[in-house]
Formats: sequence, structure tokens, C-alpha cells
Amino acid sequence: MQLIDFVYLFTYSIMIYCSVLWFTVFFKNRKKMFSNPKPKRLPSITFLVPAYNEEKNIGKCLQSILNLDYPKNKLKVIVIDDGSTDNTPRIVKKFKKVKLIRQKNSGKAAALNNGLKYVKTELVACMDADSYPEKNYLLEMIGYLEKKNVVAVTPAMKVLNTQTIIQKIQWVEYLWQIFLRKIFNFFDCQYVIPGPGSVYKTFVLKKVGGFEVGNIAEDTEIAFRIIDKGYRIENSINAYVYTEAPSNFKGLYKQRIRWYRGYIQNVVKYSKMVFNPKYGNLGFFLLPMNFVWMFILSFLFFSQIFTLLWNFAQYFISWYHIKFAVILPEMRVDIFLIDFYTYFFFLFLLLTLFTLWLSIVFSGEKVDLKKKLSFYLSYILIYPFLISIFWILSIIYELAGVKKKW
Amino acid sequence: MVKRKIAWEFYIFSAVITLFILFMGIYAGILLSKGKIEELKEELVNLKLKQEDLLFELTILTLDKNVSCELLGQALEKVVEDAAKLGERVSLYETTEKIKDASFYNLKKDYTLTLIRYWLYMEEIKKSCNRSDLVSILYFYSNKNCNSCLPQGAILTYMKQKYPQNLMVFALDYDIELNILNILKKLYGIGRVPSLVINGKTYEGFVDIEKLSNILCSEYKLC
Repeated sequence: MQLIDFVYLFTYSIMIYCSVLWFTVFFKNRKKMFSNPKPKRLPSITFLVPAYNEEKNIGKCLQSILNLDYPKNKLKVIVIDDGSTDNTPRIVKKFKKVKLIRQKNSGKAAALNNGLKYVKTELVACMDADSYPEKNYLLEMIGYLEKKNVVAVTPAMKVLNTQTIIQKIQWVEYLWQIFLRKIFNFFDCQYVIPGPGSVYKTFVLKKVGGFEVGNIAEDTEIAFRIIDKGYRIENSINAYVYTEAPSNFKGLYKQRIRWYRGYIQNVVKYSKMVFNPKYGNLGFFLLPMNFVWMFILSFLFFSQIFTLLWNFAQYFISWYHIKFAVILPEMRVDIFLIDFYTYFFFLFLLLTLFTLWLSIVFSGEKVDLKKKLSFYLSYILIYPFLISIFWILSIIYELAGVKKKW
Repeated sequence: MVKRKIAWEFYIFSAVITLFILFMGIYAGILLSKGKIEELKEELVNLKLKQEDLLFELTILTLDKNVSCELLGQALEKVVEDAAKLGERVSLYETTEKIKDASFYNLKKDYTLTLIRYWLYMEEIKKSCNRSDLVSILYFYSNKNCNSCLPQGAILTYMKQKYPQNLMVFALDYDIELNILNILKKLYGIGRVPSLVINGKTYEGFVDIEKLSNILCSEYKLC
């Protein structure tokens, strides 16, 4: 075995280790996956909907909030118009029950903080204007907030539109994220409170100072801050919020670079958590491991590309030397073509399929090979490649200090 | 303030399972490598049996030329093809196998000896049966530091496919420690790879497809 084989083996062992760990956490908690605590009472709640040029979605979003299974007198909605130049404010004004606040364009975090000033209810929910909660979504979540020290609950997000292949990939990715977030939740290491549909205790959000203006991933930052202050975040796996996902590569690229750079910046900001056992499994394991995963993704990505190019070059050189004559290669299944890499290949294939199956089952979907096969396949074949590119670029941009513009 | 705990039992349990899976993989790799070696050994035994057969036929040849020449030519063609196929698998094992079995290098020596013996028999048959249409190529290659060995191999494979009945290629690893190989190297004046010995004539260095076609066509009428 050469050095590169040992590097591969080491990489594989880390990948297997993480998979085994998450499966173990899942197996230990498998009976608790769907059991959200029933709320003993229904506290008053305000939805904050920051909106910037959302004329296409805001009406549907507000309608779905107003249609929620919840006492109407306990549910308030505030839209913060972040200086839209389209019809957004006019559409909002049609909803009599919705309060509209307008501000100069100054970003999502500023909009949420602005809205937070008007919140008088016990709970506050953030809802992106392009997201639509399911009717029973609140009832599946707020029970958690009765537990001690729990100050925020995250929902399960799903992709609404699946026209393009990019959206199909994200559709599956979100299911996987639903499953993974619940596992992280059991392992007390959830580190994002997503924009669409998360619910907070108002007094805590106000106490910690609201969202950080200027942070490109304010949903990660608030999670780190809440954890840092010694509070707990919970997750409901069956409180569904449907959201619009970027439909093309460019949109996805912009979104992911923002997320991943935001993640990196916030880990740097909260670097005191890394390796710090005070922050439990998040500080001790997940944050350092995410760092290792960045290396793994980069290594696998570049080594695969290199191997591919190298093999192609060798093949091409030989072919060139016989003047591109057609010789039929002898295709045969030969024991000599398999080795321990084959074992790991099938192991990872199995792990991927098993994870995919669990993700589908635990996000309330059904395995549908007739309609969804193209979804699964594009996810398995394209997603790892895409995600590696986005992570590598994010790391490079962060290291090079490229100016962020959103 | 919540007191966050570290779930040691999960970390340790996962480490144990991971090590188990890892060792399973490496163990499977070792078993597989052993299985491949066994298969190579078996094929080599078969090849040697055929060789012994051929040796007897050669002995009979000295008694009665007319009867055996035709049969002998056919037999030789078949076994040289088998030898080349085995050679492919031997080099596949050598270049791709990660966990090499200790017995591989002896096996490769054994294979090389068998191949050289075939080459000797072929020269013998060429002489005794007046088969001037048979062309033998000794191809010296190396798996280390030889960039043009890959295209040279491809060229030879291509030519072999073009003249399957007349061209016999014997690929010998330059780096193998065998006395007979050293003697051959000295005999034909070979100091580097790739090198070809075509019917006893040495061509050192890379021979491209045009040059090889020319040689085969003008000197041995393989056009």
C-alpha cells in the first residue's frame, strides 16, 4: 500500500465513524422521532415576516399563516417591508389582520429586529416570505417550549417546487436535512435556527439582543448565541414548512456561498466553543468534525478529479499512439478488478441508500420509484459534487477575504 | 443555564464499530489478494503443463518433420495466446493490487521463466519447420520510471490484434532479478526500456507505430 491508500483509508474511517455515530444516535432515539410533546396551553404568538420584493409569494405566505390551526385571537402577523420596490406593501395591505411596518432597505436581521420591537406576545415566529407552513405546524412545535431552558424550536423544511433538476436535488437534500437535524437535536448539537418557521420565546430573543445586523448567516449566529447563553434548541420533525428553493445553479450558488461562508464566519466568531467540552457534543465533536469534513470534501473532490483526468490522459496517450485505431476492449467481469476499494465503494453506496430511505420515511414521504427516481438519482450522483464545489469555494473566498455582496 | 454533557458512550461505541468495519474491509482485501494469487498459480500450472506437452512434441519433431510441423504451429499459437492473457492478469495484479501477497514475486519469476521457455521453443520451431512467416518480439518493459512503456504496450497489442497468427509478443519485466534475463539483456545489448527484440534484432527505445509497421512489412512481409 502506498501513502495515498493510507490517506484514503483514514478518510474512509472518519466517514464511517460519523455515519455509525449518527446511526447509533438514531437507533437509540428511534421511538422518539415523531413524539412531539403536546402543548398544555396555547400561548399568544406573533409571526415576523421580513419581505423584500416578494410580491409573488407574500400573499400565499400570509394566507397560510392566517389559516393555521390556532386560536385566531392569539395569532398576530407583522410584515416588515424592507424597502421593496415592487407591489409587496400593496398586497400586504389587503390583509386586514396583518400589521405592516416599512423600513429603508437594510437587510433581514435589521428587519426582524425592527419587527421584534412591536412584539407583545409570549412567543415569536420568524417566517420567510417565500415559505408556507402546514396547518398543524404550530401545534407540533410549541409543546417543546414548555420544557425548561428550551427557548427555540425549529421546524422541518421541505422544498415546494420541483421543476428543475437543481430543485429536485434540493428536495431530497431537505429531506435528508430534516432527518439529520432531528438526530443533531437528540445529540444536543443543532447549530442553525432556520429562517422559515422557527419559533422563539420572545423575552429570550429580546434579552440576547435580537439578530445580529450585518451577519450574513443571522440564523446560525442566533443559534450559537442562544447555545452560548446556556439555552436549548429543540426540533420538531413533523412541523412542515414548504419553501421556495433556488431553481438554477446561479441561485443555488449564491445561496450556498452565503450559508457556508456565514457558517465559517460564525464558527470563527464563536471559536471559543471549538473543542470546549462546556458546549457538549457541539463544541467537543460536531464543530471540529465539520472542520475535518471540509478537508475530506476537498480531498475527495480533488483526488477524484485528478484520478479521472489522469486515467483519461493515459488512455488518450495510448490511443494517440495507435493513430486512434478502433480496438475493441475486452470487457469482462474479473476478480482481478476488485479489491478493498470495492468493499468501501459498496459500503458507502449502502450507507447512502439506507440514509436516503430513512430520510424519506422520517420526513413523512414515501419511496416512489416511479415518480421520484430522477430525484433520488440526481441527488446521489450530482449533490456530492455540487456541495463540494460550494464548500471549497466558500473556504477559498473566506481565506482570500473576498468582499461579500448579497 | 443547561449543563451540556459529552456522550462518551456514543463516541466509544462508534469507534469500536468503525474499527470492526475497517478491519473487515482490510481482511476482505487480504483474502481477495490471496484468492487472486491462487488463481494465478493455477493458471501458471496449466501453462506449464501445456509447455511440457509442447516439449514432447518438439522431441518427436526431430524424428518426423512432416507430421508434426503443422500441429506444432497451431499448438504454439494457442499457448502463446494463453501466456499473454496470463501476463495481462499478472501485470494487472502487480499494478493495481494494494495488498500484495508475499509469494507474488516468486510467481512472477516463475511466469517469466515459462515465457522465456516458450520463446525458445518458438525459435526452435521456426528453424525446424522453416516458418519464416512467424515473427517473435521480445518486449522489455518496466513498471517503474517508464513513461513510453504504456503507449509501446498499446502499439504492440494493436499489432498483435492485426496479425494474430504471425506475431508472437513476449513481454518481459526488465527489473526482474533472473540470470537468464541478464543474459538476454547482454546478448541483445539492451540497457533501457522500452526495448524490442524483433526476430533477434534489437531496437532500443520507443518504436512508434509507423516504424514498427515498416519493420514488420519490409523485413517480414507482414503488411
